[in-house]
This record gives sequence, structure tokens and C-alpha cells, in this order.
Amino acid sequence: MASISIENVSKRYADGALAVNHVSLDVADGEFVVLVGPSGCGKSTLLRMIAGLEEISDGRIVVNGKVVNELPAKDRDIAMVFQTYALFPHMTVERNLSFGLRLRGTPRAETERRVREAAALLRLEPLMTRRPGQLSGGQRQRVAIGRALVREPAAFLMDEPLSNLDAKLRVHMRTEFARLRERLHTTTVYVTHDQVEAMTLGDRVCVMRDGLVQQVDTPEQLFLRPRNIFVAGFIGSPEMNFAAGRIENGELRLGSLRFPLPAAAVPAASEGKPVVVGLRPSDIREVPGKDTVEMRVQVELVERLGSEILAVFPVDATGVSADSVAAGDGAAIMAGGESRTSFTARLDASTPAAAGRPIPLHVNPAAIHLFDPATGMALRQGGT
Amino acid sequence: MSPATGRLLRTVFLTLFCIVWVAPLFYTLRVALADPIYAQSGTPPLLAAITFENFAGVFANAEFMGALLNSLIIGVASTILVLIIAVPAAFVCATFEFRGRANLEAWILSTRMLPAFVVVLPYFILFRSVQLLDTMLVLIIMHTVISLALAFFMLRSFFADIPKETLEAANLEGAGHLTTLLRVALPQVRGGLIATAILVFIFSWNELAFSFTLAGGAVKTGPVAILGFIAFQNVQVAGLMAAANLLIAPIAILLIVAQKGLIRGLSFGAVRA
Repeated sequence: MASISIENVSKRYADGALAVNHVSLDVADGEFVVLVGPSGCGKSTLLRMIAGLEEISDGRIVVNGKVVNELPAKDRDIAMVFQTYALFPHMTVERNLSFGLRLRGTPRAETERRVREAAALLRLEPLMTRRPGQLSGGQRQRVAIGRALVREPAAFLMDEPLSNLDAKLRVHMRTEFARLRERLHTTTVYVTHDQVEAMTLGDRVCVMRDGLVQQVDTPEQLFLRPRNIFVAGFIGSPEMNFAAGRIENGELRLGSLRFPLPAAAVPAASEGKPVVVGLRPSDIREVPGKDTVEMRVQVELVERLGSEILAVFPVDATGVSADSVAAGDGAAIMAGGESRTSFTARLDASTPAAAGRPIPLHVNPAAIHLFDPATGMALRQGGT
Repeated sequence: MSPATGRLLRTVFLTLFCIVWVAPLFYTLRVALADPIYAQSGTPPLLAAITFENFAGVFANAEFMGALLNSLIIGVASTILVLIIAVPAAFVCATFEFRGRANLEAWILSTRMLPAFVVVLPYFILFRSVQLLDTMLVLIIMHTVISLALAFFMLRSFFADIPKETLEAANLEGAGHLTTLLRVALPQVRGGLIATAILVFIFSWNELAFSFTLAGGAVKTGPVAILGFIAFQNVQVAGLMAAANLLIAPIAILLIVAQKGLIRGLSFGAVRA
């Protein structure tokens, strides 16, 4: 067991590109931390630096109080599960599992015991004499996890371990991971681009973008209090609705809609200024509640998901793309564009919504997120 | 083109190809298996009775059989040497980024750019000065040198085909670079390793230029000994044919046995097993 401390770590490639930009992150002993972000955000590079597969350009990585920057991968006592599983194709499952232990000269009886235990835990017993080529994707995945388990390493690193599986198996393996996590409580850093995986598995989730940490928090806090528009847009499905609004006299104006904001919630400096409004599809309700504001909308499209529906309707305000605001060209977005955008609401399946039909929907102004259009930072976090 | 036309064209071309390549080999074998009188008179022995007289003569020829043994020893020794040197070199170049790698590879390739007869004289002077001429050792060294580049590039492509993650996984499991090479990388390129070894052995077995100039007196190899059959006033055609067949036989057997791996090897790892 180990704690991992990433201190101001950067990765600069030979061409000068910064893949990881002064990242700091502490992973407590036994904690399960997920690094999540779009592809190219530096999450895998950061993981490989912890593993010792990638050199650290700047900063330091401390495992259990010891700086490991110069320690070769083989001496770091860290096990990694790769996206491609990286099983040894010429060895049987049993040999794959015991490889690390045999290298370390673990006594034979001890090796056999640990391999047996891992095989039982992951239901690999019937496969022990097969080679990776004779296994299905899910089975290979379990072998890869088993190979990491038997070593009883200080920490697990997992690099998109589920992304090569088909959708159904992925959900199943995600549950398996969650179960293992509860059982082992080994320090784990898990990389994924899938926010659902991140939210369901992580004790804490670190959202990254362009090599920078955007926010590190519990899944709940990320969802309820995103620090900036990127995190707000990245976490949650369907994506948060964004549009340009304005604060006037303590009221939020969103096109023709008016939302009274609690006085304490309005930052003084934003009075009279444009803001980016963020509203989660799940915060738009089909029934009125206390303090809710009604908006009458003309439904354009209904997606039926079984237990719920997604209703898409137009709003007479300028649309905002979370990506461009976070990239720093918010001013341009606010200036131009058609003053009409689509919002999505997640409603109960019994809601009588149909395309072309007007329905009343209700929003609690307290659930509205406000972001600075120039910096993308949250002015006020909704969900309270 | 219709499938039938394609088949016809394929048959025609393959037949022509076989005639050009196989006919001389067949003729060699046929002459070797006929009474020497045919060879002397130049009559094609197509329908002649089969006799092993010429082969018996070659088997009884201690000098030629000794030369085949020399070829075998030199071939095996140089193949082992080539692999010992080329395997780690190819592994490093295929899996590590380092400054000057491209230059190093270009230099390795350059060792094969000059024809043998251009470099043989400097080598002759070099080996004379260390008194290695006409020894097994000089040919083992030379055959190692001429095959290194080929072996390096073949093996490099095989190693490059290995999924990099398996090497990284081995690393994280606690394997150093040598252990990774021996226990994880090499087993994954077994077919390629065998193909490379066979080719290197064939190169050595067939090599004439260096074998003839740097040795050839006390130490003769098979191809040099073949020359012996035509070195005197009368060319012993029938004996020559039998000897040639004996020289070809081990290679032919090797090629047939290892056909699949070799084709893969010669496509330089372009095809994955």
C-alpha cells in the first residue's frame, strides 16, 4: 500500500509540446483516483510517468515518501493494467499471472498460493492452461487484472482498461472493478476518457484538459459544483445546456426568460454583464416545485430512453460551446452567433411531451450555474 | 479479367518460371544419376538408366566431404555469432529511441554496399597481418561480418512488430532489459529468429568470394571444393553434378522445412502471424 504524491509535474516533448503542465495531485493510501479528460489531455502521459515508462521533465513524483523520478519502472513496485492488456502471448494464463513473482524469486509455494487466489477471485481457474490468443476480450482483461493483483503491489495503475471491450461487457467489468476496489482497497490511479466510468469508480476524480488539471473532487462535487465551464460540460450526461445570458437588477435574463437569483448568489461584479448560463438537463422538471420558474417551451424532438425521455426545445438565447469558452475565446462566442439555441431536458417518461407541442417546464433558479464568459470560471455554482 | 483468364495466366507464368528455375536443377540431378559416359559425350541422359556411381565417387572423395564438413562448422559457428551480436542490437534499435539511431542503422546497412571482390583485398592484407589466412576462424569471422546487416534488419523488423506494451508490462513486472529481451521479446519472434538463422546459414554455406581468397588451401569450403572439379585439364562433369547436388541438398531440405517462416521473414515483418 502506498500514497502517491505528484508535485508540480510536467512533461515536455522534444518538439517543445507540453503534454502535462505543472500537475499536482495527491493520492492517499488506499484511495481510488480517476484521471479523466478528452483524448490528448495528458492523462495517460501522467500515468506513464507514475509508472516510470515516461521520463519526468519537471517536478517530482513521490511514492510512499520516496522520490521515484530516477527509479526504473521495474523497481517501483507498481502494477499496471494496459488498454491492450499487454499479456505475454507465448505464455499460458498461469505463467502470465506468475511472471512477476517468478522474476522476484518468490518461493514456489507462495507463488502458487497467490496465483490460485487471484484466479479464484477473477474466475480464471478453467483458463489457466490457455494462452491469451485463445481468450475472449473480457477474459484477457481479467488475466491482465490478475497479473497486477498477484504481485500485491504498492499501487495499481490502469490505463483505459475497459475501452477495448464492447458496451455490455464494459458495464459488467465496471461493476467488477468497483467490487475489487471495495475488496482490496489498494491505491489506484485509473485513466479513462469516459466520464461515467470516472464517476462510478473514483473516490475522487481529476478532470484534465490540455495537460492542465481542471478540478479534483469527489464525483458528487464535480457534478454539483464544477469549477469551470469545461468541467461542467464534460461531467454529466446528457451534457449541461449552455447559453449566453445577462444579469440585470439581480435577475438572470436568458432570452425572454427571467430568473430571480438569490441576492447572495449574484456576484456583485457581474451586475449588468454578460454571463454563460449552465443548466443541467436533470434540473429541468416537468412539475413545478418550491421557488421554480416556469418556462413554456415548444418541444422539437423527443428521445425516449425507457424510464425517461430527453426533450429538446429551442431557447431564444445565443448558444455557447463549453469548449470554446474554456479555450479562452469566449468574447467571440458572446459577440456573434444566432440568438437561438437548443436545450435538452431530462424528464419522466410519463411526461406528455411530443414534437411540436408546447409544454410548461420548471427550473429552480438555485440550480442554475453561471460562468464568466471570458475565463470560463464558475461565478456561482448551482445545484444548491 | 475473368477468374478463368487469371487462372490461365497464372498457370502459364508459373510454368515458365518453373521451367527456367527447375530445369537446370533437374538436368544437374539427371546427369549426376546417369553413367558418366553421357556427361563426357554431351548426350542428354533423359532416358538413361539410374546409377549412383557418381554419388559414390563423391562420397569417397575425402577432400570434398571434408569441405562439406568445414562448411557446416563455419556455417553453424557464424550463424551463432551473428545471432549473438544482431539480436541485442536489433532489439535495442527497434525498441529504444536514442540519439544517432538512424545514423547507426545507415552505417550497419553500408557494410553491405560494396561488392565482396572490392573489399576482399584489404581484408586479405588485414588477416595476413594477424596470420589468420586459410583458417576456419577467418571464414567464421568473414561470414559473420557479411551476414550481420541482413540479420540486424530482419530481426529489427520482427522486434518492431512486438506490441510495445508487452515489453513495458514486463518492465513493470520487474524485468530488466536483458530479461525482457530473453523472456518476453525473443519468444514472440521465434519464427523470425529461425528464418533469420536459416538465411544466415545459407549465406555462409554458399559464400565463395571470401572462402576462395582468404582460405581455400588447407581449409576448403563446399563451393571452393566444387571448383576443384573443374580446376584441372579435364572437367569431371558427372562428378561435379553429383557434388553440386550434395551441396544443394541441405539447403533445399532447410528451405522446405522452414518455408512458411522464411516467407514471413523475407517480407521483413510486413505480415503479422
